[in-house]
Amino acid sequence: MNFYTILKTSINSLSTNKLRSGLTLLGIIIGILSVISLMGMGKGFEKSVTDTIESLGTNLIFISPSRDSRSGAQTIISLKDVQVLADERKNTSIKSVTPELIQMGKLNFGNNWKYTQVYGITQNYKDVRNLEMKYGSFLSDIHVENISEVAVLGFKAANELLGNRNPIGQYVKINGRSMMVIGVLKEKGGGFGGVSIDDRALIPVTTAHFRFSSNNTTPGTVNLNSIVVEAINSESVNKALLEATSVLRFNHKIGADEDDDFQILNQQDILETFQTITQGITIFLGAVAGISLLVGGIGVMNIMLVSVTERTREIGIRKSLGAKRKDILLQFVSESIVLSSLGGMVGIFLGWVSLYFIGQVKIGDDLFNTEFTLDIVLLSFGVSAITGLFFGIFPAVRASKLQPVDALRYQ
Amino acid sequence: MIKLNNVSKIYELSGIQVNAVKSVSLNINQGEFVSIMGPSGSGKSTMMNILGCLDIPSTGEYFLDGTEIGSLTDNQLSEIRGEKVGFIFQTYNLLPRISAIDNVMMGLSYISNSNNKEKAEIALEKVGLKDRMGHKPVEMSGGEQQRVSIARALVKNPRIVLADEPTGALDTKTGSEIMEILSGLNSESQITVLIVTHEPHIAEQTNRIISFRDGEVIKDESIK
Repeated sequence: MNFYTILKTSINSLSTNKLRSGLTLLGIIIGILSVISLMGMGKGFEKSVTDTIESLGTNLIFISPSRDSRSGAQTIISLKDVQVLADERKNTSIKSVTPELIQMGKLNFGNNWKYTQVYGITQNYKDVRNLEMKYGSFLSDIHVENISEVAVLGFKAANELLGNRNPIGQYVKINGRSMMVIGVLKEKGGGFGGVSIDDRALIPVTTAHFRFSSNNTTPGTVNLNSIVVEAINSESVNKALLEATSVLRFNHKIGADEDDDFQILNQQDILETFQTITQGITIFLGAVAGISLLVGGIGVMNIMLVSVTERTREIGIRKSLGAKRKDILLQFVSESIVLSSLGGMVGIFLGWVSLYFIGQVKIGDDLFNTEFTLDIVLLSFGVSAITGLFFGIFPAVRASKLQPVDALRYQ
Repeated sequence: MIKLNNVSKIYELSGIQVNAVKSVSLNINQGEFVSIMGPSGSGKSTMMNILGCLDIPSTGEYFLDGTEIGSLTDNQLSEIRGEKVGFIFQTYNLLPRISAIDNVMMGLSYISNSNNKEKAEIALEKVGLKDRMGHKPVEMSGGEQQRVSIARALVKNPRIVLADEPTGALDTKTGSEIMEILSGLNSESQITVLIVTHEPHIAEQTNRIISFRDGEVIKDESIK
């Protein structure tokens, strides 16, 4: 029996019982459909996160406080650290350094208000984060020195508060204190969960500390949430990381046998951390969907077992006509493979359709990102074919082992 | 052609041993037209299963065309059935949902890959069903169905045709038509034809009657 005959025979026997084959198909279709849609959503999420992190700028190193290894108290990184890191004579791989002092703030303009993150920063922030101005100018080191009460607004924040007015020179209240708007950033987009620089307000780090911060600090130090260091190029990121580490250890007077009292990560580390999480989510979603595929597969096995019992006499006839074990085995296995591959193809198509519609759903201002990639298609098609093979083999072996005499006698 | 030496078949049915065939020795030559007679339970169906290589003897030897059957594997038995033996059953055993021609082609599907359709058409023409080829068994009369099953048996040019009560489910007139076809098959193509039956008037149309009772041959006579 050649491949074509086997295939034709399979399709013939499946189509003689359309309702039953159809219901079995449905099980596989739903299984594949859920694998495709959940994996597609997971992958889409993975991609949004990666894009967002990459949009923050490249060649970056992030320094943040950690916990003291003995007391467990929160350690401190300060503006002083920023100054020593920025010393170009010592740190040849570091291009620029900027502090971040992050607070929640209420922005007011007339009747318009908005809760958002207020970032205390310096002039370098613009280059480090690859920001561009839409209107006006960015904060300068003079503003930082003078603790000026000025602000630069993100594109969306400016829009929501000021509408169509010329924003430059307007006074916006931040936590009750009037600040003059000196610039508005160009729209940057990105940001998952709706938190993007477009929503934020930027003010001088000194203003943030002395006018707003509630932190109890040693006099003369300005506590920061993080310091962002930009390396001169992507090759020197690791060298810059080593330089920054040793400068900070020296500055914090950490002994050779003591641990760092700060956390230092490069962008790659952060990306990898997030990718580990998002890939975990994708795999988890895939596994959940896999369960429904498993149920579908058991449906196939169930139907094939019924089919074997019901067609015992047919098996006897075929054996009397010279069919070998292998022929009967192949026939039943191919029936279940045809069933599950067909289900797989329909499921893939419906999965594609469902991802299209999921992709139209708005999350904040962005569309939900979904991915319909070849590897997902191949994976699900492979899984459905293997499901057919795996769950088809048991009934098929059972069929092939029937003795012709017994099979012919079966009523 | 067929040679049986002290063939016995013992079944175990819920712990009880049933001796269905008891040391039977037989010779049947190429081209013979033989009937195997006997009441139900006489062992004739078991005999037919052994002769058709659907089952193997418990003891004794069975030579078909010089091959000893008892020592063959499942696959070798399938091969012998496929190439040498054509079966005709009392209940026709056609697949009800595929057409007559597909049923006949099934008789070739495990042994041949070329010109199966032409061969099947010729076989159906021989049994007078050329214009009914596309019909399914459920749309055919009993006599027509039995003729399809004869076509299925002879499409591969078997050495031997085994018919188990071929007229058992048919009225007398249709039954004798079937017998005519089988007899023609024997006289024209020199195919060895064995008919298992319990009806004396069917047995009388063959050339030799082997009578079974309680698993033993009690009479073996040539009548023509």
